[in-house]
Amino acid sequence: MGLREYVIRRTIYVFLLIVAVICFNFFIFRLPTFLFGVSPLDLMIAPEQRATMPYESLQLLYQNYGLVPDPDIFDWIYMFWRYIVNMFSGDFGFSFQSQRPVIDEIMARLPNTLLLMGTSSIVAIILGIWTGVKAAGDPGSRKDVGAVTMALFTFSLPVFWLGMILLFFFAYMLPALTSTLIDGGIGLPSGGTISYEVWIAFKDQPFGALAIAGDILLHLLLPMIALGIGGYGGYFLYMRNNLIDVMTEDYILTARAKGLDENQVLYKHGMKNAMLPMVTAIAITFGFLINGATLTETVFNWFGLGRYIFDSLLLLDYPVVQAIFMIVAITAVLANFIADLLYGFLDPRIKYG
Amino acid sequence: MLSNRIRVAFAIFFVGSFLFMSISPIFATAQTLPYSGLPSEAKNGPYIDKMVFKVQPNTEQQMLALINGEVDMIWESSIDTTYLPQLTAAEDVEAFGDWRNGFGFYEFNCDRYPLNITSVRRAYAYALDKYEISEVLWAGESRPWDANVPPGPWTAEEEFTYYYYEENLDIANDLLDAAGLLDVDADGWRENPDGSEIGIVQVAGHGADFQSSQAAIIGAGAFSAIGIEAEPLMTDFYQYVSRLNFHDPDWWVTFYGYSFREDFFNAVYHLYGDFYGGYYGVDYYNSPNFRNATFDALMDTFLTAKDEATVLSTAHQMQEILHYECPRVTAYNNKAFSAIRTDKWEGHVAQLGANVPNFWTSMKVHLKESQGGPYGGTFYVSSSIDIDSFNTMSGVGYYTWAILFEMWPGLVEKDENAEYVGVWAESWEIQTHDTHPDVVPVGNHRFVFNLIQNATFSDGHLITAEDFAFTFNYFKDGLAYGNPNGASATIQSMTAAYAAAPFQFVVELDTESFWNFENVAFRTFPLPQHVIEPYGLEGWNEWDPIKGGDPYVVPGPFTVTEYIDAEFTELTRRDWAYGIDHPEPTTTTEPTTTTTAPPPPPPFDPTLAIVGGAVGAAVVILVGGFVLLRQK
Repeated sequence: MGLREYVIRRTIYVFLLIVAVICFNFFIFRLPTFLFGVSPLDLMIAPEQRATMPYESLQLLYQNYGLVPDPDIFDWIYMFWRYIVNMFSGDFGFSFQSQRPVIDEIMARLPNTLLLMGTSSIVAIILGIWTGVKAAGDPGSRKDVGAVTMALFTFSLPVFWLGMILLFFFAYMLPALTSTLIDGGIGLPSGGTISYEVWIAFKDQPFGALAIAGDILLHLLLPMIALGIGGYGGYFLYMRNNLIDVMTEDYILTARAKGLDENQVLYKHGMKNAMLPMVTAIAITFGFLINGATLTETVFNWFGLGRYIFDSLLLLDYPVVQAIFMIVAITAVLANFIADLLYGFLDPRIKYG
Repeated sequence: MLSNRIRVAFAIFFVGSFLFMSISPIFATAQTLPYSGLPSEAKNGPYIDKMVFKVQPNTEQQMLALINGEVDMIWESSIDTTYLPQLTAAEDVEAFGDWRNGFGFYEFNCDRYPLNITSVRRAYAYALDKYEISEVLWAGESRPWDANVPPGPWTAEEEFTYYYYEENLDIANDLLDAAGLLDVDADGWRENPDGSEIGIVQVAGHGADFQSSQAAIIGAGAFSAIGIEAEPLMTDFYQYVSRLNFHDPDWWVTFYGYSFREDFFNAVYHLYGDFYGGYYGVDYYNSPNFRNATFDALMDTFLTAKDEATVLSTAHQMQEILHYECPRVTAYNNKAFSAIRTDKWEGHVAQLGANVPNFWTSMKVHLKESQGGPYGGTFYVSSSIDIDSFNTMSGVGYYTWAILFEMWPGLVEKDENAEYVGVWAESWEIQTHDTHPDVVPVGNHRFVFNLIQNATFSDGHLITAEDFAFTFNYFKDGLAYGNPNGASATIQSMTAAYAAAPFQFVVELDTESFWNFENVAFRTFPLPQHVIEPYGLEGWNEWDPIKGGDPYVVPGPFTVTEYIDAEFTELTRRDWAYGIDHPEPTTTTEPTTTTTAPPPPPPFDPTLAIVGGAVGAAVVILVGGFVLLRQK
């Protein structure tokens, strides 16, 4: 079987997988309703408000949200059918909470999430590969052991805690310590994506976009560092172990026998081959970029999809979580598919079948 | 391998890191009070030019922003009491507190034996130490409370002849003995009159909430103290909600809390949905499964009462029944706090039940003379949650309405003493069959509002009676399309809403009740007919101003001029009906045109320069180093 057959077969698998994910999505987010009978409207209308509302009005409200207060099996079948039709027709509906189109809510947050996750992933990947190569160049040395220990330590740190510590030092302590030197002190923002003051001062200026971009980058710095440091350990270990394996291959011995410089052996021959498995890992990482980072976004008040997923889950905002999870699932499945294909292109020894 | 010195260094580093990790919560701070209110009379304002709501979700962040002067007020009425010492100690910051328009309570399943026995429920009420609850849950910023209506015009708390405030085990045990629940086998726990075990009573609390979980523990302790075996049950929030909504037969007692904000109508009217026998067994209503014929008869009178005296009298009698029957044991009424900077601002208003963040504060707050006041300035407030929608029909959250109220005042509002103040309504007449037999049928109500005639929406359209008539009909007819504004009983009992004259608005209801005026007039604002009508009834949630880019036309004193998702909302003063003359802003006059002075440059912030410099230096070092290495 050639590449074409492989692509066709995988495409069918991908399609079936997406259908399965869509079906699964319906049930998993309705678990609180299945188990406890609670529905989103229960959370939207406080009991003290509901106590003053006629029962008929309450029932009418449920109906108009596409909900049933105490659904039976036929209600569930109807709701499931309507959900499937909406999903396949790309109609994600309106958020229960804001009553705004779900797709608008997602698109409002997507750029921020891509910015945070993209930059922090790049930081983590570059840091992981660089330190991984350095450590693998001299396995067993103090440098290697130290790097492995540090990577394991940072990898096992809770990112939200790391974020809080960074905030504590750079957003709270630093301004307090430097406030005696400079009015207001020097420090990094304690959260958010942009400052009101910068926005108002520069939004109408000819080159104001640069200042605003700078302000966004300033706000990005701490969450990016937290996620970058928290995530580099995985890439480091992967890279180091791959490279150590590769450095035992015969062609490395041949390169050394040719009298090549050790740096050339490491970077030109070793690293190039050790990078192949990293491609899959990186491709999958980018497939999950739109997930966002729930805890980091919460700690830094970053307006992204991760926090939105969390908030929507708590409020049983089905239309939102269904749509986001479907998009995430499709992106992840496609990223895996692309990674598989890419691997074959990069390594001619791999045959599809 | 590693030398001993490096091993020790590593060990110290890791131990230090983990120690720091474990003690880091001590950097969080802890609690006491002071509060006061400032009176306000006239309804003219606002004095400020702008009001900026900054979204700061963490309380620590809000506190630091207030103390550092980054914001002027925390726009919440429920700052955690643990932060009060920090606020009190801060320079130029004042914390304001008032009794919350709400309470915490234990709800019984009155269908479950032995909780269906009044004596058992009363014994529990006597066994509970409400002072302890106030101390543990709210660090003393709370008081014992018995009534099922919070402080305000309708509560009967002061009328009760006896109270369940203090733990009184003697009375509690006597009540249980009289009910026949005795410890027959002397095992320390009471048995049923037939000798069988009562079972372990579970007092449920929301496990993730400090107050709720502590209340469950104290509640279970009270049962144990009177010889009824009990345990606290920490539940998931959904489970918690559904057990109350769906009359789960397996539950015993649940701890819960109500907050009515500045709304005193719901604070008493909730007795209908919560205890009325007609709602027995109906999902979402009467969660304690309470039935009492006298109470129901009083409730019928209460719902149809035409005068305040009858309402007050029946409300008090119903509370007295609940006080005796105890289907719900109210435990406490705590204080709600907010805080403001006093070095720049004065004139803020503490409104009964709403505390300092309210419509009147934004109308009255002004710069001190020492700051160049009283006119102008930007008032920065911190809000923990962003507005979810600028569409008044979609916005549901408290934080959303904290902003929307600034732009959408009602026909009448309530002042700091909870007295009606006409805003769009200059005067009004309440007509009944007795007063106007020719136009009002028996048992009906008619309200005639004479509107002010100089009010405009922010796009210049005159606000007329047609806008009010459109709004009321749009809400009522919109319920069929899911518009929640049409769900109230009053709107559903409306038979007509129309403009009798350009500035005379009439509402007719097929019921006659004291409550009708409140429901018709308070907080009911005019939707701009010329903006909303094109969306149709079914498009009530498609109007998406600001966030969706649709035009935002508002009637109130402020309008939205800047908004960034989850960051800030900037409101700017507009020339509205009750606006006051502000001095002209500084302008530069050119020979032919007049231009507004450009905004002043922002204060020098060295952070951007330092970080920029550091990033630049890092790039130079890395690139330079790489080039040098390549050369080598």
